[in-house]
Amino acid sequence: MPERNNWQLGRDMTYPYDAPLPQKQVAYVFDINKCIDCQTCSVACKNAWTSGKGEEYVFWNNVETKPYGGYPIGWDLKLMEKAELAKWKGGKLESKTIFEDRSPLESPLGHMPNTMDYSAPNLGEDELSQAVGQGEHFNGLHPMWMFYLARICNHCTLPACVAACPRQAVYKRDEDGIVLIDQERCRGYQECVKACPYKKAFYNLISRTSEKCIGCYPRVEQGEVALCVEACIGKIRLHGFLSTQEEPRADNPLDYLVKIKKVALPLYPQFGTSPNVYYIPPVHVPNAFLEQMFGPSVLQAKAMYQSLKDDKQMLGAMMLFGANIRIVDKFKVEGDEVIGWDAKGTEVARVPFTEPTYVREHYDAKHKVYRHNTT
Amino acid sequence: MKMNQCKPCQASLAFLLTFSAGAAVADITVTKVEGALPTDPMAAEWQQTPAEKVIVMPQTMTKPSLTTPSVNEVMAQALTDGKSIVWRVSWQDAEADLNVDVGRFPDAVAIEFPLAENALPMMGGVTRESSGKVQIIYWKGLWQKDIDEGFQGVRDVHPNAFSSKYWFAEGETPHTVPESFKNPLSHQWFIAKQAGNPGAVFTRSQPAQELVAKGWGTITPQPESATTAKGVWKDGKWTVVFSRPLTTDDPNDYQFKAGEKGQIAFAVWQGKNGNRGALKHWSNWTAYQMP
Ligand code: SF4
Ligand code: SF4
Ligand code: SF4
Repeated sequence: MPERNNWQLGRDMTYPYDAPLPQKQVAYVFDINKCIDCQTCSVACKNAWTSGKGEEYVFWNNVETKPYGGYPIGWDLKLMEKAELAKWKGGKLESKTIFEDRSPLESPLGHMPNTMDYSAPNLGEDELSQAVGQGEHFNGLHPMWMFYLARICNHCTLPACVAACPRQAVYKRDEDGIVLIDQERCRGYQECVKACPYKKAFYNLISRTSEKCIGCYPRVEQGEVALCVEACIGKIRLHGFLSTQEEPRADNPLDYLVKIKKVALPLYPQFGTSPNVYYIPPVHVPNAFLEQMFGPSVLQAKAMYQSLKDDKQMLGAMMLFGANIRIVDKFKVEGDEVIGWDAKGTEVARVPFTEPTYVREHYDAKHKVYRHNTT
Repeated sequence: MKMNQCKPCQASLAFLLTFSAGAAVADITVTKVEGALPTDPMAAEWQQTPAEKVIVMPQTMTKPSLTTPSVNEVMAQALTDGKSIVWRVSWQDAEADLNVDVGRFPDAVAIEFPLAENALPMMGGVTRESSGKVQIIYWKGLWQKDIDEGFQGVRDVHPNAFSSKYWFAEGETPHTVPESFKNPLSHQWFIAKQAGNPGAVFTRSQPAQELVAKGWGTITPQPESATTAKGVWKDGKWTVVFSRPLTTDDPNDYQFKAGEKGQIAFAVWQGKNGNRGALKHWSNWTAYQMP
């Protein structure tokens, strides 16, 4: 089987296909610290793409509460139970990925969810890691924690769904790395449903095919961010491309945050699919839990994020989150502003580091109304 | 992404070649009848028709391989009236599995005929380049139920499912397919149907599909089909008949000739055991004698 480099694991690994890297790789940064679990992203995606009969339970975008939540229920725990415990040494993964130690007659290590695993799309919502004892909430900072994890397909560099499909109905686009299921070719074997470690391929019992997040490709082709990114109320998301054919560019916000600063980390890199949604870990959550989820660079990423106010360049990149519906290809911090340009070189974002203060008269003479703090 | 030709595939190809050299394990006699051919699997004529036992094996040559087989033989029979041919296949299955859902698969059976001399019994061969073309006629329990009881929708699998709104759908909950989805705008979310996927059909005339294949992973449904089929599950056994004209003008159809000694192969999928796609039981080429 071909060997492919997986930079997230610090080593090469076996993968069933010998596919070259795409021209560029669609990627996202999600700042977990800012997500408010409003589910606007889930609704934006569902309204546009999965409101059909047979798609009732399909959430290409879902937001779950960790540590207990997950959709489908236990999607990650069930795989971790089957897989070897992740072992890292100096940034290198020593344990096996889902593609390794498999016979040539076996699909990647995976599990088929049970129908009932889809019965509660937000089970465990707002559940804390442990109960708050009597009077404990008066005692300043308490040790209980939880966080919201927004999830979409990772448009993996080494996708398990592609590896598992026996008739190559799942493919990764060369132009942007978006992973799609050919809806004409799919015969509903559900091998992708079983193999995707993130459970982002879903079976549609009316169409009788498997369907997955399409990365909003019709928008991406127009240079626009995905619907779940545009709709995000908390502005936790940045959507763009990672360079694949050249060295990471410091003026590309995705390259900068993911490859150069490494402040945003892949979800369960140990599975080995090289996922491309990168998370800024929640700073209040214990490291042991986060390391299991985001790998060994958690401490470093947390520290960087906590001193963000002293790093104008990184802060500038982060102010581009939710700034425009155009995909930002290039950014620059200039004085007290960050400026973003799209791939055509058109300015699409200009965000001040400090929002100016506007003082408005109590009485609006034009509309003949008194202003309240809600108008 | 292009599949890389891996070593194990080549090894299993060698195995397949050796194995197929010993073909013709059974001889099915296609019997000539006067008058109408029976198209009902339970028709009385079948009691007088010779039946041949054909061994089926778990598919273990390509991934995903079937590690737990649940059937080891099928019974095959055939009748012709000189114009059409009817194949009847039966196998033991304690329970009929018909519906689909996440991780839920229907029972199915297929018969296969070579369209090229070098066609190997499992899908014609390994790669598209090295294989001979085969015709496959595939029957699926789900499609039989669609025909017998109406298109199998969400409520047939989840009786308490409730959803109040589907864009551009007419009528009331539960909005059945196809009745509530007459407005073409409501089809925008039936992506596979819009893409012309032959599996995403809401009004089906036959529970079977004609396909061609030229190597593993290349199975392709045909736009036109001359086959009619019917499957019945009774007393722990599936019986399925396939009927089609002996000859057609379609180059992707096998053309049966009077007096020929031909070859047929079988495949069986047991839904209960998660069988689908390559997770199947298959037979070697089996000889049959035309009258
Ligand atoms: S997240 Fe799952 S469905 Fe998406 S590309 Fe990766 S393996 Fe495929
Ligand atoms: S990228 Fe588009 S298709 Fe994918 S989850 Fe977001 S909104 Fe849905
Ligand atoms: S819209 Fe944004 S803030 Fe709201 S749940 Fe989704 S990711 Fe979180």
